[in-house]
Parts: sequence; C-alpha cells; structure tokens
Amino acid sequence: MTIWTHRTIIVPDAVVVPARMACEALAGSGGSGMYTVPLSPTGELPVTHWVSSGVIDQDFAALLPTKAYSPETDSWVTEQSNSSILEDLCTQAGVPYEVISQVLLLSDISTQSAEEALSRLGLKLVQSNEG
Amino acid sequence: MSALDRVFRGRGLGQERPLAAIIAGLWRNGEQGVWYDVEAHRDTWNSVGTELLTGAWTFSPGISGNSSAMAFASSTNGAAAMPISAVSGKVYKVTFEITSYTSGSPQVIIGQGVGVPIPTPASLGARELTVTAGSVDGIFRIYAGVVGVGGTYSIRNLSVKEWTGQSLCSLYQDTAGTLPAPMPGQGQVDPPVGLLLDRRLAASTANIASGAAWSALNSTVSSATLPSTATSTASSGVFGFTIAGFFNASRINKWWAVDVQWSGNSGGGSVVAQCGNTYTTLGSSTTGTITFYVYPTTASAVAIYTVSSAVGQQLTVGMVSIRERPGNHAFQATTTSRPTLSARYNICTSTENVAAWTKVNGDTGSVPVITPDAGLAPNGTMTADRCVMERGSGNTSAAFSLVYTGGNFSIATQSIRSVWLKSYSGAPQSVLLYDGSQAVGRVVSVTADWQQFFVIGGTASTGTSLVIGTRGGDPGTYYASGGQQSLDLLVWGIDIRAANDGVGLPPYQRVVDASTYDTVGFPLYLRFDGVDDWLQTGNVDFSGTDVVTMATAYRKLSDAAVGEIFALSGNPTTSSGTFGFYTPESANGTAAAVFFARGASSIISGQRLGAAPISCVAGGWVSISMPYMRYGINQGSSLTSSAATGGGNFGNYPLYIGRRSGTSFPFNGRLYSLIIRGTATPDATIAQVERHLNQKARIY
Repeated sequence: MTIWTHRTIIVPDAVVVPARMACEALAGSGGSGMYTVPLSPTGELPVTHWVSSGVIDQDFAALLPTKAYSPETDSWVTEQSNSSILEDLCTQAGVPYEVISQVLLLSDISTQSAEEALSRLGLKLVQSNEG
Repeated sequence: MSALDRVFRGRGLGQERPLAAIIAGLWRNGEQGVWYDVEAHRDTWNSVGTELLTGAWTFSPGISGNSSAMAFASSTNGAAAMPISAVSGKVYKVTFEITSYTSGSPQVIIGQGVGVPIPTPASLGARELTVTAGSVDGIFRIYAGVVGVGGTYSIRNLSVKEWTGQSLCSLYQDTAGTLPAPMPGQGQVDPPVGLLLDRRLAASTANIASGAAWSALNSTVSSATLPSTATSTASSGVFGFTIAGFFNASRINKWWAVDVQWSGNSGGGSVVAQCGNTYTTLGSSTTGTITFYVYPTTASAVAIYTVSSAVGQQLTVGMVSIRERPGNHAFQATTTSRPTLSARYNICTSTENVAAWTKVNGDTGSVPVITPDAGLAPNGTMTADRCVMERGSGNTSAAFSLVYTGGNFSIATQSIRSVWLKSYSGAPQSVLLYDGSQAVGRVVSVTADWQQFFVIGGTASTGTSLVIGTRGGDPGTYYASGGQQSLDLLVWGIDIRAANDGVGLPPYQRVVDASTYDTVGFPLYLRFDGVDDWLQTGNVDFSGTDVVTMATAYRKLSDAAVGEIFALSGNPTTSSGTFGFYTPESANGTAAAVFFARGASSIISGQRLGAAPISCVAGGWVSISMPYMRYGINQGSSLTSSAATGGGNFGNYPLYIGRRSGTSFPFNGRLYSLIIRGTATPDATIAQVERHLNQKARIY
C-alpha cells in the first residue's frame, strides 16, 4: 500500500530543467510535469524559482533532504537523507548523481504547505495577466 | 433510485428512461455530459433500506395526519414526532413531497441533533435530506416552523431510512486506477485523487483482446493465445508477450479497462503492462489479478512483461481483457498535482485530549492539572478529561489558570468556537471562555449536565483559539476576565470551524490529527491547493450543441489570484466554442462566480460577487448561438446576459478542472460536485439539481 506524505519542493530557476528531468526519470509518470508553477520575490517576472506542492510516495520522500524547524536554534535545518540509496537509483535510471545532488543542495524541500514555505522564503506566485 | 436519477429521468428527452440509458443516448445523439460527484465516494445505495417510520405519531396542536399525508396548520413551532431507532452520529435519508405551502420555516431533527431546514419550502415537490442523528432521544421530529412561529404547509410520502449513497464515481489515488482512494481521516494522509472514474458508464463493451495472438517479446512462448508461458531468451532486459500496433490510431485517446491475470513469475520481478504509451506496474508476486485503467495517447503496442535476470526465466499469463470504458474520466498523472479527498471542518487537533493543549498560569494561578479519560463523555465514551484550575487569591487579569488550543485558517475567517463542559464535582461553576486573538469572550455556567458552549464573534482572522478557565479582572469590562477562583471540570470535544462553512453539519467533529478525524455527516470534497493541483479529461465533444447546462458546488478559499474551477479547452478565452468558470476573476478580485462562454468571436459572461471564504452552489445554462446566459448562485436571483458571441456550437476539447490548461490560474478551494450537460435543461430542473448538490455539500 502506498503511503503518501506531503512535501513542498522549491527549485531555483537555474536548475529547474535537470530537476524536472530527474523527477520523471526516477519516478516515472508520477514525477512528470513537476515544477510548472513560477515564483519570484515580487510576484512579477522574471521567474526566480519553481514549485511543486503535494503528496508523494513516502519512500521517495525519504530520499530527499527535508528542512525542519529546530526550536533549539530557532532556525530551519536540513535533515539528512539516505544519499547512497538515491545514488543507486540515479545509476539505475541513468541520471547523473552529481547533477541531482547539486539540485537538491540548491532546492528547498519541506513538509510545510506551499503558502507557509513561500512566506518563509519570501517568494510569491507569478501572476498571469490574462483574464 | 438516486435523486439525480429522478432529476434526469427523461427530463429534456420527453420520455421515461433510466439514467444509464439516458447517458448512452446522450453519446449517440452527440450530446456530451460530464458528471463528477465527490460525495459519491460513500457507500452504495441500499435499494431496500429499512423504513424507520413504523411507530405511532404524536402531534402538537395544529398538526395531523400520517406518513402518507400530513398537514401543518400550527401557530407555534410544534412538531410531528415519532420514536425511531437511530444511532447518534449516523446519517439518515429523509424523503417526502411538499404538496402545499403558505408559511413557516420547517425543519427536521433526529434525536437531539442539529435541525436540518427544509430548503425553499415554497417550491412544491420532492425533497431529500440527509440528517445526522444527534445525541439520542430516539425521536424523529418534523417542525411546523421556527421557535415562536408556526407554519402552514402539507407533505406526503414521508420516509426515513438509513442513508447510503449511490456511488456516481470511483476515486483512485493513481491515474491507472489501481489504488482506490480510501475514506479520508482514517489514519492516512488525505488521499490524493489521480482518477475520477464515472461508474455509471460501466465497462460492458467487447473485450478487444479476446482470442488475440500474442508474440514473444525476447522470449519463446508456449502458445500464441492465452494462457501461455513466456520463457526468457536473454539474461537481461525485459521479456514476455506483446502485440505490435495493438493500440492503433482508433484506440488511442480513449479509456480502457484492462484486466490481467498471471500465474507464474519465476524471476519475482515487477510485472508491467504496456498499453500504448502507458506503463502500469501490476505487482511482483508469483500470481496476481488486477484491473486498471489506461488512457493511451500515442499509438503503440500492448505488452505484458517482466525483467529478465537469467535465460530461462518464465512468466505465465492466464488472461488479458481490454474493454473500452466510455466517458471522459478526469485524471492527473503528476502525484504532487493531484487534489486530495478530505472532509475536514474542525481546525483543531487533539480535540478529546486536553493534555495536549496549552496550559498556562499567572500570578497566584496554578498550572492546570489534567487527568485524562476521567469521565464519561457526551458520546458515551470514557474520553472526557478532568481539568482542575486554581486562580488563587489574585483578582487582577494577571492572575489566571487556563487551558487552550486553536488553529489556523488559510485565509482570514470568522470562526465558531465550541467545547463541551461539565462540572466534575457536580456543583455549578462559572467558567471563562474567550478567544484571545479576537477579543471576544463570555462567562458560562457549567452544571452537572454536559453542555456544548459556543463563543461566536470577533473579526475575521487566520488564527483563532478557545481559552477555558479562570482569570481575574472585571468580567464586565474585559472579555478575558471571569470564572470562579477554583474550577474542577470535565472538558471534551473542542471544535473551531469557519462560521460560514456548512449548514446542518454535526456540531462537533472529532479530530485526533490532520490524518485522523471523523467524517460521518461531513460532506466530502476535493481540496485544490491553489498552487499546482488540477485534473483533466480527454476531449469532450460538444460540437453537436450550442447549449451547455452546468451545476457545481464549491468553496473559494482565496481571492489572491485568479482561480479557474473548470473550463472546456486550455484556451477558453481565445478558442471558439468554449465555456468556463472563475472564482475569483482576477488577482485580489472578489467574484464568487464568473460563468463564461465564448462563441466564434467573443465572450458572454456573468459575475456574482462574494469574498473568500465563501461556499456556493452555482447553476445555469448558456447558449452561444442565441446568445443567452442565465445562472445564479446559492438559489439567489439569476443573472442573465445576451452579449454577442459570434455564434456557432461548442467545441471538442479537454475539460480542465482546477487549473487552466494545467499551467495557470490554479483554483484554491474545495470542489464538492461538478455536473456539465451539453443540452438545454429547464430552469426548474436546474434548480432541482442545485438543491440536490446542496443537500450533499450543505452550503445553505
């Protein structure tokens, strides 16, 4: 039985292309079509980040370094994930692990809702002008 | 027969036919319909449900008759009452017909539950209410009117049965339809919904794989027809069975129900089914049977295979059935983009665990002492917590002993806060209740009987709480002062919800945590997160009609950005023959509803205002050839328009739900129901459909 868990994943624009390709390669159709919502600090162009927010397979979530709030330091710290398993998966999928590790290093992954994560990072959805 | 069956039975087609045949007729006649009803995830109808109104009626003055025919001519809010066997918290279906009406605001109550108003009694005809039984006194009542005021009306064919609902669709967590979406609140994350499969369009079509000749895929096969065993001829790669070009041009862009049965998998690897450009993992067991759904969009082969790690590995497949599943079922392939099925209304957690709440004290006050499960709760369980609070001798607001908890809304919201209290000692006690962030509070008298106390009021806010205890100061001048010095209470069942979120819902929803909560009596909805959640169908061919009827029940939770609930076409404002629905219509807009359609050249639309958060049932129709539009929300006055559209018929496009073209204008809110019908529908029928949707969503 699939166990789902919530993640908000925010990826810098500079690495969004390899991030999208990696998700599709590693997670199949369920990982396709991610990071299609543009973000910026002002809510206007240019886009600086992209976001996907929703439930993912808990086993896959465990491979992603996720931020958690630390009351002791009053800051958000990244909890380590199992990089060896992720490296194995990348090898099987033909995805360069060094690229994935760089994407993960630059991304913000948390259990917060999208609204909370965007507020913490000072980002807004980029609005379309079409009505 | 469901209410929807009654509504559409022969309507608009001039003859009596069951609903399934009507839908089949719609396809043949070129009309198209799309029906999604989240509520239908409940149990199936019990077509021979036990009638509960079998006892004797007692009537207040001015009321007479029986279940078959009953007349109300009461000057006060008297009731017709009958003992029934009802279980507190269970949902019951109450049906009847209103045959005449002059005055009154009648309502129905089972046990000591919340009264369910009979909507628009002046509109004669059938009614179907879902009523949750309250704390049981075992009596069904139908009232003449509200307190102090009677009513004059008559009804017939009154029936009360245990409620079970017609499943209009099946909900799955994945697009292949292999993982059913469980009931939310049962200890798992509210399930994502990747496929809404309209169950009324049953898979009764021919098995196109029957007797098919399968070729060997990197293997030798024992037989060209199934059952057959494939034996791997390579020590790597995949092996199994295939039919090249099976999903040809005439078979793509359609839904197929695929059944696979395998009885041998010597390698133990995952068995995979390829159907065109879709790949579904079936399982890795030695034997298995699975049904799943595919929507191939690229012509290609069909194959059943597994990974080979050695020559001689074997895969035995007993049966493959492939049947078309007609209809335009909504789906979402990306896991993070799937809306979630939910029934959460109470924003608090640990609602029966006071020990998990915040406990504070000040000045001479002591920290509250909590004894879990110290008393019998109103629902008969031993879950009421004892709470001892001592303020001490301090008589300023600095002296207090309090417990509290609360929650947050996604948008500034007016809230209703409640909690059940009872004196542990048996002696009456005065207790302070307040919301610290809202500057609203009151002192209540707690007795030896359980009472649910409410704190209502304050301005809209994202954060809210309910504080319970004793605090010094002048209760006459300060909202957060009051309560006697020493308190010894039983506390249970805190509930904080949006003030305008649902009518006639159970007054308390037990919530353990975000994944575990009671759902009985609470309407189900799909939650779209306003970021990237959406669904789509394949092309829905409305090209044979210039008229579309729609009805939808939803709740808007943000005005910050444009939200598109549904639209035919990914470019509904520039393509010809489209329609759609916004809420809001612009960033920081306040439109509760914008229904629009576009003909060959321009748009006809209408707007109804209402700032978030707001729940609506919208219903209406539009003709782009006349041109004419008529629709309304929440049974209010209809908006009409005759703006030019350029004429023509509607087009053949996908239907997008929750986000335009899956790329922009994400809807932030809840979707309870969505019905779209490609033909004219009488206004009275549309109104009846709206009432049907409202009975499920409990919006007004």
